[in-house]
Amino acid sequence: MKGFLGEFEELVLLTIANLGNEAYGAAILEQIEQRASRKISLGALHSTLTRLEEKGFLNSKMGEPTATRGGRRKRYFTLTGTAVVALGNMKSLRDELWSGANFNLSAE
Amino acid sequence: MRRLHKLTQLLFHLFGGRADIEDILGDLDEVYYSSKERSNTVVALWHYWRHVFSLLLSYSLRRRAKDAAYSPYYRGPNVSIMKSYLKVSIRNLKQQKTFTVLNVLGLSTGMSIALLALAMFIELQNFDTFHPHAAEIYQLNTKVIKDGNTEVFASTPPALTYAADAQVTDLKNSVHINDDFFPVVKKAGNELRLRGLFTSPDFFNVFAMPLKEGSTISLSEPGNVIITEELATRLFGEDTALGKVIETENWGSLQVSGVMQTYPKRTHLRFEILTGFETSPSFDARYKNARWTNFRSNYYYLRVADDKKALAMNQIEQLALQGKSAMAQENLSAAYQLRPLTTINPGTTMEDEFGLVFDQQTMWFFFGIALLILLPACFNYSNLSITRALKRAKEIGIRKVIGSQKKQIVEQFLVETVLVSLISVVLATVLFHLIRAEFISMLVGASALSFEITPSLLGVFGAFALITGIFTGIIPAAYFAKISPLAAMKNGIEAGKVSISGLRKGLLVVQFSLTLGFMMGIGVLAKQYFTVLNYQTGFNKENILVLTLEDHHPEIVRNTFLSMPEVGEVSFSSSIPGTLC
Repeated sequence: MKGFLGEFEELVLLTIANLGNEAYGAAILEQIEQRASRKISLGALHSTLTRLEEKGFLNSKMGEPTATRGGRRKRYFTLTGTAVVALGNMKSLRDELWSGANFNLSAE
Repeated sequence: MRRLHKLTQLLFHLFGGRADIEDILGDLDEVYYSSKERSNTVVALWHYWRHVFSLLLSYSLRRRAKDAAYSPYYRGPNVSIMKSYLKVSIRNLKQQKTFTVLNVLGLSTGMSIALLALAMFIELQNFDTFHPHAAEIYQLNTKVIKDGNTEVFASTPPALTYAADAQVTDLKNSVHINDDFFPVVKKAGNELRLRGLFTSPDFFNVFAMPLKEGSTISLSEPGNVIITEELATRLFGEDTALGKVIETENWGSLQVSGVMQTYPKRTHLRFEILTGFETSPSFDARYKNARWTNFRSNYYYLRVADDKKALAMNQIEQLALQGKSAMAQENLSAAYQLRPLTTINPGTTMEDEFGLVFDQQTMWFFFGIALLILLPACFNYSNLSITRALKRAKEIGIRKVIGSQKKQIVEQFLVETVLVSLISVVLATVLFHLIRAEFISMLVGASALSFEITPSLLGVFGAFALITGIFTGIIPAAYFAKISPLAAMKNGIEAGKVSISGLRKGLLVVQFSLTLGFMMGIGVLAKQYFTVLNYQTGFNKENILVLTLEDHHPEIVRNTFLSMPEVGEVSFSSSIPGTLC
């Protein structure tokens, strides 16, 4: 496996997992903006998507042309097995760290 | 929105070339409309452009552009396509043997003159660069102003230069040269007039011209000379020249105290024999300290570091003030300037020029002529190959039908012309080799040029051929690319119906007028040449002898000659009448 997952990368991967079959650029952007209420640019998002694809965390394929978007096709992203494993590892590491914390992190 | 899209697409094309960005454009659209629904157009537009600019500089676009570059649809330089171009070119050239031979002959003849000019240009750039501190060596020149006219002399008043030796600080080296030394030697019944210089041992500190044998310091003894290896062979053959005595008619016996190694020809210094100033009594203290006017033949070279140059010049100008009154007596005033050694050739010819100087303007003129000779050859090729289009129309038609782009047809023909011009340059180099001896004997001072074929020169020739090939090929290539496949397939192109025949006619006119111009030029030149040989100048050239004064007093010379019964009349002039120098 190439490289570690960054925070934003993890966010993007999880958003794609949430969107299921409807994970394409604009949708991912909207989801992240809504849920995380942070402003990101399409440039940053597409760069991250490209990098994740290079690292083997994502597959992408072009959809069918639709009436919306001026007939332009969407590029759909799906998680690869590696991504699922990496996300799982990340989660278990987090859980472990959470449960072992000496402070009460869940206050409030 | 449509106009907006056009602009966005243009921007993406600028930044990402042929990158596939369909989905990105779709995303941009969607984000724009959803943002417009939520707020208003202005905010939506602001976000749209924010996204566009972030995308333009993003990694994703760069990556997609790179992917596009390596896709099978990529149309950049490609080895296999170059191979195919080359193969087709060779086949075509083989098929049209007469055409190829004609073109190669024409081009190589035109090129050979251009190569001569090119080789000359390169050699002149390297003149006097072999001295180890060439960049720090300058010649001091005098700008003489008389009655409002300014003339620049290569020579300098001795009073100034000898003072400069002693009083200019930071002078690394300096040397005085006087070129009025012409010893006459009797050799096998002939009189040899040797080209000599008065100088001092400093000469060898300034210029990189080492001795083969003997010592440089001997130059400060009167009657000692240092000769070039070439002269040594001429005078003494295989014998050692060192220690021999040269009997001269005008300077008595001169002892050879040194023989120089053969030095590179590419220098402006021209001499066979060197002697010290001590050999002649005319270089006395009065000459060195008080001679401000009548300074012909006295040259001064100095070596000074780059950052000290302005300072040295300042000091020289201060010293020059001492000569102001002496100059004023003869109605003169003078200013001084430094001429870098490396700019002497090619440079501007000055008054009282020393050694060999190729005038830059004359050189440009020569290069212009060489180019003018090359041009008709190039146009000739262009024309012939456009005419060939009649035969090749089918090939181009088929190429276009199977999807060849304009650019690819242009490339195909460019490869072909470059190939022809490369073959031509090989032939031209052979021609160059054959005509260079003739050229050297024709041009004054060309003996300083070696025209040696070196690997770097061959490289320059190759580059020249490449440029000539592209220049020649671009017009026919553009023409071929324009041919409509339909017309080409149907019937070939009918003569006279070619779309840019105007251009062809233009080329033809230029080619013919240039050629005719040259033929007329040669005619005029030949006529002039014979006129010069036979022209009545208005004075009788028979039985008039020209002698140089060599620093003797004119009145004494006149009286001595007039006392001879054979001499009819004596006159003086600053230069030989009827010549340029």
